[in-house]
Amino acid sequence: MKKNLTIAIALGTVVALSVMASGQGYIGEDVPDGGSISGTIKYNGTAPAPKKLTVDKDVAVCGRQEKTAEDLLVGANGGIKNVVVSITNIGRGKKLVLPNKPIQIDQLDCQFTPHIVLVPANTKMEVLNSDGILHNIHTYSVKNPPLNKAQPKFMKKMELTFAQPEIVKVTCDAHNWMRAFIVVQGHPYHALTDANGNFKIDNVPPGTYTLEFWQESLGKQTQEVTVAAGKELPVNMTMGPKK
Amino acid sequence: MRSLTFGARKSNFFRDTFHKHPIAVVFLLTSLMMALLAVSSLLGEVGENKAWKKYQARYNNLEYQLSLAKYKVAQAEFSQKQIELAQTNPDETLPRLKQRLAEAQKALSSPEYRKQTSQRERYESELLALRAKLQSVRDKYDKAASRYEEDQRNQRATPGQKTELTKLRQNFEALQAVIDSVEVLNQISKVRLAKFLDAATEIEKKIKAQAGFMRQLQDQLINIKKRVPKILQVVLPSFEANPFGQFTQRVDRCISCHIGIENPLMLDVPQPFRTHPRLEEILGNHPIRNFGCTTCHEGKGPALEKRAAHGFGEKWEFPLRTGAYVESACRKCHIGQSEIPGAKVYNKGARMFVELGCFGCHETKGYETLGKVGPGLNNIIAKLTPQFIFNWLKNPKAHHSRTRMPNFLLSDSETVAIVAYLVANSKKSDFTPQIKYTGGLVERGQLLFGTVGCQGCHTARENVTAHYAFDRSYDFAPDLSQIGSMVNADWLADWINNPRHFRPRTKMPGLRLSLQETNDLVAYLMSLKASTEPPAVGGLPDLNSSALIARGNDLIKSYGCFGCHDIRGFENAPKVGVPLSNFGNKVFDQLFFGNAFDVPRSWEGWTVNKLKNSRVYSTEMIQQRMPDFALPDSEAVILSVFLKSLDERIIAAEHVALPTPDDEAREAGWQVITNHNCLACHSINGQGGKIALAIIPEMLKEGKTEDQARAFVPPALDGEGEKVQLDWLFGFLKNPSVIRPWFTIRMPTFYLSDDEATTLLRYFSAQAKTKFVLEYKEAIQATPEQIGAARLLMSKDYFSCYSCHISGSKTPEGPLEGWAPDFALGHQRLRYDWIVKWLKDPQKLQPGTKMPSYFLDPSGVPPDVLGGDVDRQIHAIASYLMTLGRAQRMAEIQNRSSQVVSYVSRLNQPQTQQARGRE
Repeated sequence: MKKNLTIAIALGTVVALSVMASGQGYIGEDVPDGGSISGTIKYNGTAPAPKKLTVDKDVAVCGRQEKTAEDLLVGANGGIKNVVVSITNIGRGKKLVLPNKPIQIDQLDCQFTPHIVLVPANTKMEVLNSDGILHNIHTYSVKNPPLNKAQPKFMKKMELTFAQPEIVKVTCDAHNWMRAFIVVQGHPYHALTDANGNFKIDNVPPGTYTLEFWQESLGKQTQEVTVAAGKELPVNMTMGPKK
Repeated sequence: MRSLTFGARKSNFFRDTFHKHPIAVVFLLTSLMMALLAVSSLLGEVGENKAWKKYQARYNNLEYQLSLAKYKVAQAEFSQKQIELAQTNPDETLPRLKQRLAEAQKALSSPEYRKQTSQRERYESELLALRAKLQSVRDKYDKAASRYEEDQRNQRATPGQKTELTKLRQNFEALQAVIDSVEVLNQISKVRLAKFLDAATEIEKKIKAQAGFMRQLQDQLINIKKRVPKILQVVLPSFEANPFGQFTQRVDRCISCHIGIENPLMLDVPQPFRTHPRLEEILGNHPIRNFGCTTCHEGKGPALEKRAAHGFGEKWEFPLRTGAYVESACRKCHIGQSEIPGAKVYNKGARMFVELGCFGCHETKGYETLGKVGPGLNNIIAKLTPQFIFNWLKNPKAHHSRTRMPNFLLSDSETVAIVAYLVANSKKSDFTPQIKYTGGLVERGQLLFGTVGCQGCHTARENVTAHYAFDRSYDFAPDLSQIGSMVNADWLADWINNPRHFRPRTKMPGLRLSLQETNDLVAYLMSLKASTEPPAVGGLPDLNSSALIARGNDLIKSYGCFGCHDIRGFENAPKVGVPLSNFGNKVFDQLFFGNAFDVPRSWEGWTVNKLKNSRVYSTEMIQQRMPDFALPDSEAVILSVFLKSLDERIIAAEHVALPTPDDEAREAGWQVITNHNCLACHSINGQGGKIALAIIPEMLKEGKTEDQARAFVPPALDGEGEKVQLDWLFGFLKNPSVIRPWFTIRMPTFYLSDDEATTLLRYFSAQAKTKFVLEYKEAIQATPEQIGAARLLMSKDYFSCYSCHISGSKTPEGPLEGWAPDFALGHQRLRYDWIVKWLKDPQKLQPGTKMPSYFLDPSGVPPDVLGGDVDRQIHAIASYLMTLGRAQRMAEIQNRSSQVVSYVSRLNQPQTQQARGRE
C-alpha cells in the first residue's frame, strides 16, 4: 500500500515536470476575470509621405491604378497603421478561436491585400490570385521552412499552412514591389492597429506580461505591462525610425 | 666460548663469514636491495598511488554519476510513458506486455502448438522420403528415355519400349503431384507455427523498445562498478619507418588517463576525461584502435606520467602538439591533399605557403613543379622606371602596403647594383605596346573599375573589395592606388588590352573591353598618383657600369630573387634557402636563436617569430638573408602550422589516405581554382564569393532591396557539374559568353589551357558525383505532343515562364534584376537531368532562388495538359527546352547558309554583280 503511494507520487511529479518542461503548448481556457489592454501607437516626429511604387512589369494589369508603398502608413492623427501588438510571454489564457472561413490574402492589382494578416498556427490559409497573371509566393522565415511557389493565372487559390508562430515576410519575385506579412499566432493575444493606430487586446488573465510592438519599417519595441482583473489598461506608444 | 650469548654468537658468525668470504658483504647488500626493490615495485603496482590509477578511479566515479543521471531521466520518461499508455492503450504497458509474453510463451507448449509441430515434422520427413523416391524414379525414366532415343536413331526401338517409357513418366509425374500437395500442407503448417512464434517475438520487441534503453544503462552502471584499474593501450604493429627504413610499432597508452576520449557524455568535464572534440568527424574517421593518439598529437606514447607522456621536460623529439598544430599531423597520411576536410588552419597555411612563394627559395618535397609567384622581370623597363624599381626594392610596402613582395632590407648600394642588372637585362628584350593610350574619361573608367570585375582581385583607394575577397593580410593582385605614379599609360593600355602580350604567363585575365573602355580605364588608373612621390635618393649613378652590373648579378644570386621572378641568366640557379622537407621535425636546439633571448625556446616559438621578423636571429657573425614578410601574428601562426607538417617520416601504406580518382580530380581542380582566384567572385564548396559584400551594398545604394541586389552577385558553383553540360562548360571557360545580361560584372577570359579547363571540368563532375562525360549532348528530341504541351504550359495562360526568362531575342518586361537566363542557351548549357530536377523543386537545388516551384503543390498542376501528369509535364518542358535552342540555332544556321547560297548564286550572275557594284 505504502509502496503504491510512493510510486503514485513519483509518477505524478514526473508528469507535472514534463508538462512544465514542454512549455510550448498554449493552454486555452475560460478567462472569467480578464482585463484588457488598449491604446494608440503614434509616429514619433513628422511622418514621411508614402512612397509611390514604380510599376514596370505587366503594366496592363498592375498599372491600372497608382500604387503607394504600405511599409509605413501614418494616419491624420499621427497613428501608425499595421503595427503588430503581441504579448510575448503568455502560457494560458482565452481560447484561440479558429476562423470560420480560411483567412485570405489576395493578389489584387499586383498588391497583396491585406498587407498583414494574423493566422493561427497549423491552420489553413488561402492565397488568391485575382489578377490572372503569374504571381508567386516567396516566404522569408526562420522557424518555418521557406517556400517559393508559383501561382499561375489558372491557379486562383493556393492553400498554405504555417506550423511555427513567427512573422513571415512574403514577396512575389515576378513583381518586386509586392510585400506582405503573415503573423503566425501561437495564442490569441495579438492585435493589429487600425488606420488611426488603435489596438485592443481583451480577456487577458491578470498578470504581468511583456508587450511587443512590431512594425515592418520601424522594428521592434517592448514594454512590461501589468493587467488587473476586469480593468482596461491604457498603453500608448510612440515609434520612430530605427537608429 | 660456548657460553656466549646468541647476539655475540651471531656477530661472530657474521664476522667469520665476512672474514672468510669478503664478497659476501656485496652479496648481502645487493640481495637486500633486490628485496627492497621487489617489495617497492610490488607496492607500486598493487597500490593506488599511480597517477593513472587515480585518474581512472576519478573517471569511473564521474562516468557513474553521469550515467546515473541519464538513467534517472530514462526512468522518468519510462514512467511517464507508462502512465500515458495506461490511459490510451492499457494493453501496451510493460506489466501487461510481460503478461502477454507469458501467455504467448505458454501457448508455445499448448497441445495445439505441439500438434502443429509434430505434424510439420511429419510433413518434413515425408517430403524427404518422397523427394528421394522421385529422384530414383526420375533417374530410371531418364535412362530409359535416352536408351529409347538411341534405339530410335538406330531404328531398333520397339513399341513395348515406348509404353514402358510412358508408364515411367506417368509414375514420376504422379509422384511430383503428391509432393506438391504435401508441400502445400507443409507451408500451411509452417505459417500456423510462425503465428505462435511471431506473437512472442513481437511482444519481446515491444518490451525491448520500452525498457531496453533503461536496462542497457543499468548494465552500464553495473559494469562501471566492476572495473579494475588497468593500463589501456593501443598498439599499431608496423606504423611508421624508423631512420633505418624498418617499420616499427607505436604504442600509445594515452587512453589510460584520457579514458573518456570516446565517450560522448564527457563533453563538459575537466581534462583528462573530456570527449575528443568533433568526435564523430575526427575519431569516426580515424578510430583510436587503428590510428592511436600520438599519430596526430605526438608526445611519448608509452609513458604513463603526465610530463613524460606529453613529451615535455626531457629531450624527446616529438613534444605534444597543441591547438591548431595538431592539424599539421594530417599531412602525414593525407599526402598531396591541399584541402583536408576539417583542417581549416592547416589548409589556410598550405595556401599561404604557395601564395607567398616560400618554395621559390626553399626546396620542399611536393612543391617542386609550381610556377614562380612573382612577375617576370626580363622586360621590366617597359613598365617601370629605374628610379621606381629602386624605390620599390628599398621598401615595397611603402608603395603597396599589402604586397606579397617581402622587404630584403637592402642597403642603397646593393639596391643600385640590382637595379643596374635588371635594367641591363631588360634592355635585351624588345617590347613595344600593341596599342597606345589615346585618351579617355576618368569617371567612366572609375565606374568600370568598380563594376566590371577588376575589384575582385585589385584594390584601388577606397575600393577595397579585394581585401574581403581574398581574406589575407596581403592581396592577391597589386593595389592600384598609386599605379599612376608607377607605370606609363601606353604600357597600361597594352596590358589591359592583352595582358599576355607583355607577360605570356601572367594570371591577369582579359576582360574583353572595347578600345574605348580600355582608354577610360587607363585614364582612371593613371589619375591615381602617389600623394607624395618618394624622394629619389640623390639620383641614380650610371647604371651601365659593368662593375655595378656584375655586383647586381652576385647579389641576385645570393638573395635568390629568381626564386619568385623570371630573370634571364638565372634559369638554372639553385635555390638559396634551407630545404624544408623535414623542417617540422627539427628539435628546437637544432634551431639557431641568436641573441633573441625573449623568444620561447620551442619549435613553435622559433618559427612564429622568424615569420614575423625574418632577421630576428641575425647576429654579427651569422647574417641571415631571408627577406622580411612582416606577417601579422595570426598569419605567422597559420603558416607555422603548415610548416610543422613538413615531415619526412614514412607511414606504412595501410594508414595512408589513398586518393580516389575523384579526390585527385578535386585536388587538381582546387589548385586551378585557387591559382586563378575564382573564389573572389564565386562561392565554391562553402568558401569564397565575398565579392557579394561589395556588390550588395552598392546595389542597396541604388535603391534595390537586398533580395534584388542578390541577383547581381556571381553564381555559386556548387552543383555546377550536375547542372551544365561539360562541353559547354569547356567552351565557356575558354571563351566566356554572356549568360546573365543584367550583370555588370563579367566572367573574365582566363586564357586557360585545355589542360586547366579539363581539370576544372573534372573537378566539377567529381564534386557533383556525376559521370565525367564530355560528349553529353544526348539526342533528346521532343515529340510533337511534348512540344505542344510545353508551349502551352510555358505560355502566359499557364506558367508564364517568359514573364522572367529571356528566350532568344524575346526579353521579359520589368527591371533587369528580375530577369532569368535565356532558354535558347539551355540546350547546349544545361543537362537534361538537371532541368528535370530543377523543375521539380528549384529551392532544393538553390535555396533562396527566385524561381518558384510549379509542381510541388498538386493544385498548381494544370489537369488539362498531358492528363495532369506531373512527370509527363516536366519531361515535356525539359525536352522542349533541349529542342528549343537547337531548333532556333538550326534556323539561324540555315538562314545564314541560305544567305551565303544566295550571295554565291548572285556572284555567279554577272548582272547582279554589276547591280551590286552600282549600289
